[in-house]
Amino acid sequence: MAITRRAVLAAGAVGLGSGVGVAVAIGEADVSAELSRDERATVAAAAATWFPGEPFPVSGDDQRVVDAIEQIVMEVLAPSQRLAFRAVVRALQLGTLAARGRAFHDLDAEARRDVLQVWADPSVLPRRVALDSLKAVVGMAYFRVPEVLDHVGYRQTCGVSLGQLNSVGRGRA
Amino acid sequence: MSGFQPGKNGFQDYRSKIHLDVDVCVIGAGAGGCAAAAALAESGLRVAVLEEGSHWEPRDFRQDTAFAFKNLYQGRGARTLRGNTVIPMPGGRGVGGSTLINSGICFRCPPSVLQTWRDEHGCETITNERFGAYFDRIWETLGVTVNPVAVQRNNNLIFKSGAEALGLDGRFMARSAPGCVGCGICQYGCPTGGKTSADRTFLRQALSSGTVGVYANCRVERCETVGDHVVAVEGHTIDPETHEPVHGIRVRAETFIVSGGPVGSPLFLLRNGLADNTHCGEHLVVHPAVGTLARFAQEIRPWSGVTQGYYVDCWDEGFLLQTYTVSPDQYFLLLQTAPGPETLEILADLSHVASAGVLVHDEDSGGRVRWTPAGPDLSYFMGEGDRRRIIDGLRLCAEVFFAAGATAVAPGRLGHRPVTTMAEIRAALPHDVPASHLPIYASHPMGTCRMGADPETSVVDPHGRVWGWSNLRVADASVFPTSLGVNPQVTTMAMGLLVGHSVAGRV
Ligand SMILES: Cc1cc2nc3c(=O)[nH]c(=O)nc-3n(C[C@H](O)[C@H](O)[C@H](O)COP(=O)(O)OP(=O)(O)OC[C@H]3O[C@@H](n4cnc5c(N)ncnc54)[C@H](O)[C@@H]3O)c2cc1C
Ligand code: SF4
Repeated sequence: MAITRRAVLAAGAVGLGSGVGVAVAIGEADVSAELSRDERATVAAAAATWFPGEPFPVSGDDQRVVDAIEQIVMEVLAPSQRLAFRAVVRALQLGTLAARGRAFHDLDAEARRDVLQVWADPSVLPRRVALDSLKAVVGMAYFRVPEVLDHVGYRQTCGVSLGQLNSVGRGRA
Repeated sequence: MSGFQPGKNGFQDYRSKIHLDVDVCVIGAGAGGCAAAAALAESGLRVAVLEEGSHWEPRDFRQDTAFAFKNLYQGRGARTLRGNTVIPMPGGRGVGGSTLINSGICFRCPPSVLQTWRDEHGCETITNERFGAYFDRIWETLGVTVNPVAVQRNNNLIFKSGAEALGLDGRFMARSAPGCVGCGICQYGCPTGGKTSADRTFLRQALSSGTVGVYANCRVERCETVGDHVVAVEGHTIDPETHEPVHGIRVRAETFIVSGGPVGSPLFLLRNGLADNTHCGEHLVVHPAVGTLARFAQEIRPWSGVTQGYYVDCWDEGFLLQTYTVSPDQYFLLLQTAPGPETLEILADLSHVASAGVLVHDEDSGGRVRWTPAGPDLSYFMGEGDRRRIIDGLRLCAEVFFAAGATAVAPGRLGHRPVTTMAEIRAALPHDVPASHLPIYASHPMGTCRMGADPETSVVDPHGRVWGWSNLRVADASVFPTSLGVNPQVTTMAMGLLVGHSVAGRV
């Protein structure tokens, strides 16, 4: 793929708005292309590290969660944010390949937890913020799954049903 | 044309370039813009209100963070400030502006702040009498009230019990939500219509005159000037799905009021060379805030009840404690602990969590909004004093939770697990914790087009007129000369009324 553009990793505790120091090569095509197999594997592995299943009824790598992540990336993020998100995902993927000899999704659960903990270290602000951007998207996707919300006991009291308000894989975000 | 645009077919009703010729054009339909439109309409002026976001009815909102970020938030929920830390700074986008997604908390601006604006900034129009009358009008228009205990529910009541046990000065907050049923999702737009956001109140007052048209999905980008006069503004209709420009729009008017909020307004002025950056875009203050949470043995169900109902007044110490609730995905984000069993256990047990946070009155922090070739550049540097006040507030917040019977409290420091004693809280929160180790959040930008009597130190005069321009005004939270120390929507609306009345020759 010809590299026509470099994206800056971006994030914020709620998203993807601030430039940070690490740059990962990203192509123009990445603006509109759906997540690649490796990218899906990386986000699924990250989601499963945060949510491995127990005590929740659904694991983070459940297809519904990964589909919802993809839907959010493609339909909710602006093109520049999408590039930044992919840069974060690739940095996670390739960073562990360089440091540990294996792509993030090929690491075992404990090693993945270690990596995410290192990224969460607030002393390295850009990396911490980048992780927050990934965490924000994973959280939005995971807590859309009805069984997960049921498990938490998240119920509304305003007479508007969750079914009406939430849509997993239905309609546009 | 009066009434809400686009019409019943939504965005498709905009079919070609729009040309308007009115008395006053208001740019941005947030707290300031809607109040200004209502004040203008009282004098029978023909007004066009242009808003880049969509027009919403309660039934349109969905309880989904991604949906809200995409449709109701600036920068799709990802607007941040950079400086000695990175601070998310959400803001609303839509008819109603940030009032669409705010918690409806209402405070009158403290008299000492108004006095500072008069004494130190020469804002002679901001008299106690005038602003007192405006606050009364806002109270009436918004139906501001303290919601009954029945809808406050546990998240607010548990914090109240802790504050009372410590003998603190705490109260339920007055809110612009007379019909609130306590569903705890104000930040997604109020699905019951119980919250009286600016679009449902001031804008409706304006529309009832028959002389006001509201153009949703229209972004103003440029302006045309002759001498010291703005002749017209131009922009585009914005596709609500793609956020891309579609048709052109051009509005000629006698007077232009910029109400794009403390980010949108200075950006418009700076991009168009209507003000230089000596003061325009400078003096940004934001009420930096940090949220924390606590675990209880009893069920809390924090998502049930008023989103933000109770506060502890430490205004003299430079901060307030306020309860809040968010959705599970936002608790996940807030809970900045390492992945693993402990984090999972807390998340699975969210129904036993209560949450509150500290909001500080910026005293030695500040930021700026700049326009650069690469786009907007927003920055903010947290000062030592404000950082210490955040720590003091977080410690007090923990004390309140323990006094209320919490079994564990998350100190509000990145990466730090919940602890069970005040000694551990103090150890987790020494006064030298760097700002970048605190999950700071800011939803009250103010002050980037500050008002004053001296063109050398301000951007607008005490009538909201941009220095150097005869018919260009600003009416929103950007004109505040200083931070308020209390939630700003009411004072913003008062500024809108002031500027609207001034244009109509009533001030
Ligand atoms: C999540 C959240 C919770 C809050 N809770 C409270 C609370 O409980 N109580 C309280 O007092 N305050 C609260 N606030 C703050 C309060 O809502 C704001 O201070 C107030 O709305 C500011 O009013 P404004 O007119 O300055 O800007 P806004 O209300 O933000 O409105 C500005 C509008 O201008 C539009 N705009 C900008 N540029 C352009 C352009 N070029 N063309 C067309 N349109 C444009 C924007 O889309 C936006 O709709 C909260 C804010 C947030 C974000
Ligand atoms: S708590 Fe629910 S009903 Fe009450 S104002 Fe907020 S969104 Fe509306």
